[in-house]
Amino acid sequence: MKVIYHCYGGSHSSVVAAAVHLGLLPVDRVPTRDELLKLDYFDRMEREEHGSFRFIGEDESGNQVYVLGIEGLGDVLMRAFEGFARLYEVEENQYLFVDTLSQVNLKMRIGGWLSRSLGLVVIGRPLVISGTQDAFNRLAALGLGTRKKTARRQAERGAATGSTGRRSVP
Amino acid sequence: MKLFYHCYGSTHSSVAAAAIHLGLLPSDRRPEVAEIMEVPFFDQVADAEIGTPLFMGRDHEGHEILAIGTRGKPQLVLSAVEEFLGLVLGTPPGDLVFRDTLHLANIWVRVGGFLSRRVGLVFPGRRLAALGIRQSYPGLVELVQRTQGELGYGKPWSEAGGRRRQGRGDPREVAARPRGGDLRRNGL
Repeated sequence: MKVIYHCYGGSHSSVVAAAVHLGLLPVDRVPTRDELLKLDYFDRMEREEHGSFRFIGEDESGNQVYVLGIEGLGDVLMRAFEGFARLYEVEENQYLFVDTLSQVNLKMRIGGWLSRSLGLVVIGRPLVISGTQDAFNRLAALGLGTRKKTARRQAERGAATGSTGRRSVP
Repeated sequence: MKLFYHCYGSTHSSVAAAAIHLGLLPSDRRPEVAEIMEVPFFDQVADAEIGTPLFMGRDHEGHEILAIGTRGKPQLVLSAVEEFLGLVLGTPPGDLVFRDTLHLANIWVRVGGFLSRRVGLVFPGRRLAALGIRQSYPGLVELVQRTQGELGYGKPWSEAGGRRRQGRGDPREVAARPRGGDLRRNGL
């Protein structure tokens, strides 16, 4: 299954949730500034990359995890994705979109805008990092919850087809 | 081929273009406002539905003609959709064509559409939008006919060549494509 975390620019909340899903960030505490900056795409996406899926990694269940920046068009795009999936007969269990924008706080919005939109990285980045740390628990819950949900689905599919599939330990 | 005419809200210029393409609206004269208002989905798509692909019909070449709204960001929406399909299908869909009709929506289409869809004044708004479509009609017909030309309508299949690309394409690949043209050549 393809799991796609999405937010405004694909640079902050979605990257963090995806990283938690893939075990790239610790979940027993809030990550440090350096741990966040070590993530490939954290506060790195440019405007031209909005609308482009970025592959982050594969989880233990074999799900591919992506991030996507969709600006303010979440509703429009979800309808479009679902409509096109139906048109091309793509089964619903092949993909899952997870909205992380709802967990974004004011510091992340302002910091993200300063850093990505205006290019004022020196001011914006510390602000967005601080905001991300504030929001981390909720973002981590999103990532972990999604990982568990998709692991179960994968196991169910394995059982349904009679194969053992891959076992995953959430 | 799946041909999408797109505009802001998938309810004015895009569905009008699709209607022209499918022969629901004439190509040889300007339709009356009443005829335009009868086009399926015309000024009826709600804000909360924008983004849903609307199936308008199948044309005589067998292509599916649809409309979609992109809320002013077609590059973002359409490239995201194409990438998404590439990911879940394993390969990019080779039969998807998009045509922008938003630039053909004049001020009356926009004002009428705003009054009807955003403000709720459907009675004057819908008529105003239809009037705007009527005024910009030649441009819409020209877009549709140009699109049909680019897709190789009405020509023998050998001249249709690369339907989605600039050139003819590899002759072996062109020969391997489904040949609707055969029916025409056989007099059907």
